[in-house]
Amino acid sequence: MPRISPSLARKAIAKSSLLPRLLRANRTLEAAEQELRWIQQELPQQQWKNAVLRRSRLEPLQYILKSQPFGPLDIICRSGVLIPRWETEEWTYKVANALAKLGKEKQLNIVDACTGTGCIPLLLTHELYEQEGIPVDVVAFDVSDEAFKLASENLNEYSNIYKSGKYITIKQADLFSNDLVKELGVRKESDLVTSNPPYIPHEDYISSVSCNGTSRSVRIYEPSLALIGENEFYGALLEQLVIPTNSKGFIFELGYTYQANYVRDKLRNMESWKIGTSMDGAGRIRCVVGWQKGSEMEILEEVCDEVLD
Amino acid sequence: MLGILSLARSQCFPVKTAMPWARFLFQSSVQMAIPKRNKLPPRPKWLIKEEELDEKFLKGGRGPGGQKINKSNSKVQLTHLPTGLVVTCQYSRSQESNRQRAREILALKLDDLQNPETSRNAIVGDRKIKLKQSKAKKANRKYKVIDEARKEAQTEKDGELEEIVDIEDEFDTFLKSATVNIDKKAD
Repeated sequence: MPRISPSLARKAIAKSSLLPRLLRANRTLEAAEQELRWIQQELPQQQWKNAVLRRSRLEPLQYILKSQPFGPLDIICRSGVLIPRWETEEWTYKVANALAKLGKEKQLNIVDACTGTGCIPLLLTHELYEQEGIPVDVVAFDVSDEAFKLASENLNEYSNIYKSGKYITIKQADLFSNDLVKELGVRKESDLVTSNPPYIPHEDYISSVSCNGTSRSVRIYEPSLALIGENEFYGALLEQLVIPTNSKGFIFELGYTYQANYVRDKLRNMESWKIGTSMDGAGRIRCVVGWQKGSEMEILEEVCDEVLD
Repeated sequence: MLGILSLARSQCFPVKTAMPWARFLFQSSVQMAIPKRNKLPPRPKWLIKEEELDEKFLKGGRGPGGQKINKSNSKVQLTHLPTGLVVTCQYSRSQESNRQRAREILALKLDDLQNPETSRNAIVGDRKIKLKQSKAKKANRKYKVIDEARKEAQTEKDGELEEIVDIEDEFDTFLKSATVNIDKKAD
């Protein structure tokens, strides 16, 4: 990474003595000014200096400000749990908009695996139940103790504002556990399985951003448990959740085309499944979507940019 | 009365010295011209019609995304289709408040376009200039008074000094005259 030029540092210090440190994490004056504004908006003045210092060590802004907006919700963030990404927000909205067309008659049973902060179930419930009045029953789980605690905290915050909080259950469970369905207490049928599992292969986790790798801030501060993963997660999601709960549809976040192909190959023998992929706002492949032909989850086709065969 | 005032104003002779009472009248008339903060025209929200807008969320950008990188920016870009005006906003972290703010900015711009003279922006800008002017005026007046007081004090001091000098002179002359008297007695 090129060093910050003295002229840039001088320009920054002319505007505010807090700015130069923010340049380490931001690289451009515009972005640094923006982050300083957010810090000043959201934290009391006596914490600004410390916040800027933490940020200069590349700590994610969301850990410093303790939250991340996720749609209309404000999700609490804490070190040890993955920060919700805008791509996740984007596809969760897409799914909610598609499911909203199903109508209020039938309750939607949703399972969210590797939930982290609990952002996906909270936003889905908000969009479907609070906005559209569609009854939902969501079970979310994570293997990490910290994630379980934080997701429960987020749910608690959410329940204080919205009445739909009681339709979400948060559990601590391992996706690879033998009795996963039993542990979760999921009823036989589920309509949708959602997940944002770890999907960065180890070699990309250790390489730099310029080599299509992971940013330093993420590597240093965010839990590798929520980041490093390969096809085994998609295999487990299908074998441990989608098939045993006889789910009618699923959507998993991913980072690579080969992961989508893996899911398609896994379900190739099953005639009833249709698989598609969805892009994010930056034009990268972001989700693999599946639905059972003839079920109401065919509506998920709307979310897809491409249907695989 | 008003006739005199306007006459006094239109001509550039020093009114204040000629008619000191006129100053108060001028002062109040200037302040009346600045609109009160709560009497400004409302934000023209009615100019925003959702069907005329194209809304985009600019996030991410080039390079890796997803879990690999953690971006906190959420920019909202609004395009007003009939006029082609483009407004972006990423003032806060929350997308919802950025959306609202972008609409407010766009409404103000449309207002400027439709009524360049009476738009909120124009009036707010006008008010700012007037406030600045009146502030400068007040400051000028204040320092004028202070300067005058200083000058007065200075002249008084000078006068006093003169007096002191006078006394010494007098004393000297008195002494001189006294010695003369003594000399005269000695004779």
